[in-house]
Amino acid sequence: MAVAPSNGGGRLLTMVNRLAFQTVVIGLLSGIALRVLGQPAWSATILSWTCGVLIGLRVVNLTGVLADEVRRRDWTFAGVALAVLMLLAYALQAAWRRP
Amino acid sequence: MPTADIYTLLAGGLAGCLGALVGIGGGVLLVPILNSIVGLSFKEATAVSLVGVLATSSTAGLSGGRRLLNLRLAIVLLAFSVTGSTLGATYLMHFSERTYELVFGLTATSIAALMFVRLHKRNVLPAGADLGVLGGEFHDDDTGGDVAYRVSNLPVAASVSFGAGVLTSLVGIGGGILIVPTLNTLCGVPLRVAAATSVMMIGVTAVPSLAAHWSHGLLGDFHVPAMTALGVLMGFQVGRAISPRAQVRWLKLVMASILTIVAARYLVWR
Repeated sequence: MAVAPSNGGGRLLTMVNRLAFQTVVIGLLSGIALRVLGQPAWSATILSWTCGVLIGLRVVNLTGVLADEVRRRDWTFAGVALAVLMLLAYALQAAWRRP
Repeated sequence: MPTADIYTLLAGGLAGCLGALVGIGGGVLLVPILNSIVGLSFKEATAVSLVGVLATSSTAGLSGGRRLLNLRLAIVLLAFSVTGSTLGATYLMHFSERTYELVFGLTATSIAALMFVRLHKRNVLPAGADLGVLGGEFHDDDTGGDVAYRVSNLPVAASVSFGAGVLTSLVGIGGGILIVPTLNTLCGVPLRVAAATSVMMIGVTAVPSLAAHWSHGLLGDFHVPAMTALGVLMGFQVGRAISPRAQVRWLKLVMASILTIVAARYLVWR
């Protein structure tokens, strides 16, 4: 019988998720408030960083999954998680370098 | 507050609420609302929708669904959906706006049909049964006991995940609306496990396409995406609060009807 899959719920990862989520909420509220207060440039900067946190959070979670599989020495799933991370890295750098 | 902002907030709220109720990212409703009512171009609506999908996935990740999540299945399917999304992102600006609208209309038609005929299969085995490599066990609230399930037809799930990834990039739907019924009806995964697994997948799948949309300047000054994300966060809490009393079956019927109208709008009334 196979081992039931882990849910990747490390305590550190849960804490990071909560912290990042609170950052997103604060970022969204302050960005919108700044725009209402007539500071569109600051608003755009804060909101773009908030969007970056949303993206980064997914990558961090996936890295947590990879660490989990490496710790369990399950190299097949660790390899798949690494491949997905590399695909994301490729997509992000392609977008970053786009003129 | 400008009327467009109110509509955007409400659209996000609706998407978030649906995310909590039926485990989808809500892009399939966000795109037509942002495009037809708020007045964004189709590509801008797609970009904003992806922020909504990401917000739904992040919010769901913090709620209580993690024990149902089959992370290994998600990782395997992500290899396909992220490949599809990266490939789709490459062709983001290659076609006319009308082509993307047609793709969206056809997708909405297929999803509406899927929702009308969709079955809810329990797919559970007794605890201790052979689970295979990707199967899992969980505590079933319906029966009060531990149950198991085995994942079958993995090539089908992989193909649908790849297609969902491509569609994520091209038309801004998260793909949950395709992945959940596929896992449940064709691959032997219980519905709640399929929803929890899909909601984790859609967030990661949205990353390559959102980055590509961002790099093409389709997120504007980030105000509309922010209003959408805020709506999603609030809507998700509302959805969670009403989910014990919600008649999901009727909700799906209403949603399928709305999708039929949306599909007609993009395919015919243009």
